[in-house]
Amino acid sequence: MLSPEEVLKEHPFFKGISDQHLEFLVSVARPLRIESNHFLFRQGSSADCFLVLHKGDMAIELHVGAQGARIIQTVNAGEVVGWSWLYPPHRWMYDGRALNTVDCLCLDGESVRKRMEEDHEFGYEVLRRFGEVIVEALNRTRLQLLDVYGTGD
Amino acid sequence: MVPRFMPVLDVWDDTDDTFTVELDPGPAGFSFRPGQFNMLYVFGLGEVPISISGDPATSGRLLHTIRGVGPVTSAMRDLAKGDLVGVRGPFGVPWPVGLASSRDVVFVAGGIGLAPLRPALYHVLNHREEYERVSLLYGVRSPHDLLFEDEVTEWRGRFDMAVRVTVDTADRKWRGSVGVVTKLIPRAPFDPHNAVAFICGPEIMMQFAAEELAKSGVRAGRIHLSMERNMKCGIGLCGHCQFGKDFICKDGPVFTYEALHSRLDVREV
Repeated sequence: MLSPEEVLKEHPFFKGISDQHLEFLVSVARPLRIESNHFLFRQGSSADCFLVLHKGDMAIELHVGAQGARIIQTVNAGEVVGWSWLYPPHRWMYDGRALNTVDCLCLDGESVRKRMEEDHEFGYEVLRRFGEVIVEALNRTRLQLLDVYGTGD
Repeated sequence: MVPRFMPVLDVWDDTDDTFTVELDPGPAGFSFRPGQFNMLYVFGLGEVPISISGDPATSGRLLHTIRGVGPVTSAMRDLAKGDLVGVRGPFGVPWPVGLASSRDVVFVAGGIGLAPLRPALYHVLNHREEYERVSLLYGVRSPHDLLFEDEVTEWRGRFDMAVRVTVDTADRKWRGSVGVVTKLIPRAPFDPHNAVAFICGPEIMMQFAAEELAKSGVRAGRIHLSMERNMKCGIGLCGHCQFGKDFICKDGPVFTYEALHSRLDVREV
């Protein structure tokens, strides 16, 4: 199994980050393995971390009344999951369920937030990366909303 | 311009709103190249352009996969065995499957866009040794809307082809990917410097897919898209399908992204 340092060094999300910042991130990273069909987080629960996936796939789900759970997005190795830890009230907006065995790192949200306040260069690096993730997610969601495969009725 | 009349052999549903019409071209058969289309005429109603969706190596049966959206295509769903359909064609520039030889081939399909791509897929799989890695990236609205589901499952089981399917939304019974088809591109197995891509689907989806492929390093001249416009004559005379300097029916429907990209995001061409 890869060490947290190896995972973060190789992970596309942290590409180009300085050794000093990487060292800090390693210090607040906790390896996590979740078996298929188990939840990594539940809607409404405390979002105290973000996840750096390096193996496996997970589904981001929303419970939609009588329709039950709907999968709104799947996330794969090489991606990060969660930005609810960044902003109050620090609660997960969705359920996160493993579709197969997922290996990830759980990075402590409170520690990262504190460091971002103290070290604005670090804060910029983190926010810039999350900004890209959020913009990509927003663009994909807009495309999904267009219902491009529908008949246009 | 004079149609050939072909009897219907069979009509079957592929999904809730999509069906396939099988025509008998007679003893002479019907030769076409992957990506070409026919003008199909339903007596008393009108004529519509429909891509050929069958295997170009099988000239004894002519397949068209159709979504019922207007009066002509909806009436086609009610055709019965033995009914006659007028056929003009084949028309249009085909998928350049020869140019893809000795390269990785990436098929990107959206919704019913898999139908015009299927003849090219058949061709590549029939001549598998001539190509390097082959990928099919397929996006649909929901698992319920998967076209050619049995065949996609069969392709998925092949060791010489990567098949990735994604849907816009799903419940927990779906074990695959959820999200837009462009998200599949960075994880598909191909060398961008030695790849040829064939894209077919809604125009906005093709635009995003072409951008993602270009971003990954595939040359714009090796990204091919199949365009759709209101075609009437099918031979570049009437001008209904004019798209800037080109007629989709005669100069297309298959174009390179290099030729199209400056026109794709123009409000009125």
